[in-house]
Amino acid sequence: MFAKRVLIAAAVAAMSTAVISACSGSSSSKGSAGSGGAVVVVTPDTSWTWALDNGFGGLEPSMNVVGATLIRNPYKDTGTNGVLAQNVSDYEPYLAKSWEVSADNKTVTFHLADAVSQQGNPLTSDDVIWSWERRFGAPTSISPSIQNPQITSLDQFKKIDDKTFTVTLDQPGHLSTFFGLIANVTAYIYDSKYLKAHVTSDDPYAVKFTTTNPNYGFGPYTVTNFQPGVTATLTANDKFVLGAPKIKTIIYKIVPDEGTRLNLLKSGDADVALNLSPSDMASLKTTDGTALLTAPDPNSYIMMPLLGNKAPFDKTLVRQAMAYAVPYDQIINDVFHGQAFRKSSAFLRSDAPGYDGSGFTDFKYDPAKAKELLAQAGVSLPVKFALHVSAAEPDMQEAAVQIQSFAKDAGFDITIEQVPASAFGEGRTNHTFQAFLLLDYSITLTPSYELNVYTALNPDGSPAGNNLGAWVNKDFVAAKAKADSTVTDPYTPEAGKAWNAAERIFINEAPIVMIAQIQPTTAFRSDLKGITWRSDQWIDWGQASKG
Amino acid sequence: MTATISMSKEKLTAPKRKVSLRRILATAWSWAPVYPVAVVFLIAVIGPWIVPLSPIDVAGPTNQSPGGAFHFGTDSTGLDVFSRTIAAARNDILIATLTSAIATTAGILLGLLIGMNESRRGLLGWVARFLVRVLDLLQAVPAVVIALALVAVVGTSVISLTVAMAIILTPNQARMVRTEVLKVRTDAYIDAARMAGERGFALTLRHVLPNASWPALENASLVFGAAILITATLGFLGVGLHPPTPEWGSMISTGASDAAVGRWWSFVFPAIALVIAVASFAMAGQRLFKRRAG
Repeated sequence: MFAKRVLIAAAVAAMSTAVISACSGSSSSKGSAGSGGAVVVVTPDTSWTWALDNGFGGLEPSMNVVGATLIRNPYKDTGTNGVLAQNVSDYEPYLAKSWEVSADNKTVTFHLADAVSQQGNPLTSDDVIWSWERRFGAPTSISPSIQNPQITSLDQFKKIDDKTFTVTLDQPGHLSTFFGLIANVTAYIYDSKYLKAHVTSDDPYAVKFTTTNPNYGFGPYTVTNFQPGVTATLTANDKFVLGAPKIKTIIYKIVPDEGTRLNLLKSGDADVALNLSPSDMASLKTTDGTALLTAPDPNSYIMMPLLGNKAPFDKTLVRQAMAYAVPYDQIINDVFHGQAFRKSSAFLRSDAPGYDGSGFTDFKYDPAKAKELLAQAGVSLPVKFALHVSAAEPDMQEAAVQIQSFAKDAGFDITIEQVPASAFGEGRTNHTFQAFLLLDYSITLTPSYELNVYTALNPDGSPAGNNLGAWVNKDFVAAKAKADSTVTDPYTPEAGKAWNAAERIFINEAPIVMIAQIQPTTAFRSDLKGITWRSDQWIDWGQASKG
Repeated sequence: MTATISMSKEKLTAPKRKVSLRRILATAWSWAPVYPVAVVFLIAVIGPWIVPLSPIDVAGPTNQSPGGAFHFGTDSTGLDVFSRTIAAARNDILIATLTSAIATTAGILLGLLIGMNESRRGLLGWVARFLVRVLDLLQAVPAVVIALALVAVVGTSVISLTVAMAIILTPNQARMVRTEVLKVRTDAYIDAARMAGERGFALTLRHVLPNASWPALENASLVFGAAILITATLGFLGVGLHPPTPEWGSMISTGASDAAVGRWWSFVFPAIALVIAVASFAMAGQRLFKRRAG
């Protein structure tokens, strides 16, 4: 009898909780976010770290703190909600006040600005060279793979004097991507004097030191409070080389649940909400006082790599058939609620000067065409495979269900395998899946980098870890190499043709189905201006103002 | 003079009881706690065949509120919540029934083995004492952690989830039986059976087993409920059955975030179903396995 009563009581409590949580809406009163000039940002727990050259962590969060680079992409007003977007086809001075390119397009001479670090040390050429020494020397650094083949050795860097140094490239075709790389997240400049004072035999580049000491650069903010998994406070750096930021305090709060983040933004208890779901973003379009971060040409893609190192996608015809079996419109409308779009099958930036988008197969949902290709491939129907998704990405799971449903008519029998994020990362890197879904973006937006980042090969010719489709194609490699070696300015019609030759092979062979471009998942209170869209998906608070 | 006593030759039989409506209703009422579980089982069996829409295919627009063609609305993927809530009963009930049966059977056998032999010398005694330590270890680690580890190794399926939960839930059943065995084996009727010549396996099977297994049988319904909740928890953690296989836990997991912004239906309906299933099995178990006093 006692157990029965306990059960009934528990059931009533559970139901009450469910009803209360389901019926709870946003509070009617305006919250107190950003009082005293501070901006409150709510974000999911992304295991923040400030230590750079320590795996993939820390790159984006550090952008406002350590993250000053030699040059950067200028911002232009999008004309929507006061949002600024990077002009990725151009560069402007940052820590380097000027630079010259040699006649052979292989050597760049940089002249440094009179910048002072967060620790009060002046910027010198030694800082620049030591920053790259750390990137090459720290065993956990990812920069060598990302900056290859443009920057491969410290020997490329030469100090002229304290404010002048040169970088020499192997070939002139590397110049455009070199500029793209040094303007982005893997090229921050560190305060070498400060870090060298804290190296140890166990930590020769002070990587571990920087996990708890984040102010080791020349960025617009300093970290004045950090509780891992809870909150981080950034305070404006009055010594910043481009002038002190207008917003004096940024408070990041970890809020794991996306529904809660949305409610905090709506109520005014938060000024910015990151990583909202597409349906929540769509609901904000009709909510007063909020605005969406909208990019003119977002670089974030939902993509479906089809691994060519095993059946069934070791056959090109089967991959192409799968590209015809994806319900693109349903994913864009029902999963992303219009927060995504698809211009074509292509991948490179179609708004780049000189871009040539001719000759691509226009993959649309066409089950009859898919079956025709499968018949040509000589495979029996249905073609069975496992589609892996990360348990940490609910949008990908929803897209997977759409693909599974609609691909049946195209002759595919898909089992969705949802795995924890760590297992997903391992499978992705080790190429153990047959196919998977992910949302990813290329930060450096030059044709050479974009086409290389997901198709790179190891020195022995095997697919590198980030070669998502485990794809090796000699014609593609040759076309890329030809464009790399002959094109110095990627934004001319000649360059467009050269890169088109490579992109055409990539798109038509379909090692990765580029499903749609995804808009940023950030929303903010409409009294904030100067919110930036960047290719690294982070907000440059140095540009923002409030009120 | 003699006297003659004559007696009528009517047979002496017990008077027939009248079967009255009142008696029928009283009997039916006494079994009332079992009816909900019968309904749940019925839904589990026929549910996937009677649902109006496919529970695993996109049925319509996403996030539709209840009404019209979608009695319980649609979830964030466009799947019909009503069809999935009904169809999920089969997966959850199947896993829970198998888990309860395996855990209870294994628990009774282990409890008997341990209880009858742990104080002995010799091989059987060592084995029994070793098994006690194994049970201690399994109970020391949180159930969900063990389930996660097992699922990570063997993958997710109805069988792997059933095996994982049977491993987690057997120790408690075994402990209950062991405790009862320690009491029962000193009872007078056991001594009497021994004096009558019964030994070993026959003694255990005929006299100890029927009297020591009641705690595990009474507890079986709670094991059932626990299995459903652990399955739901694993689904909530994202390591349940393959999506979009209907299962209450994973539905509650994906619906929880929607509920926070007012889209309550994909969370509330599977949660109600889960509560009804667990509560009804608990009540039925109490009714079926209640020991008669004296």
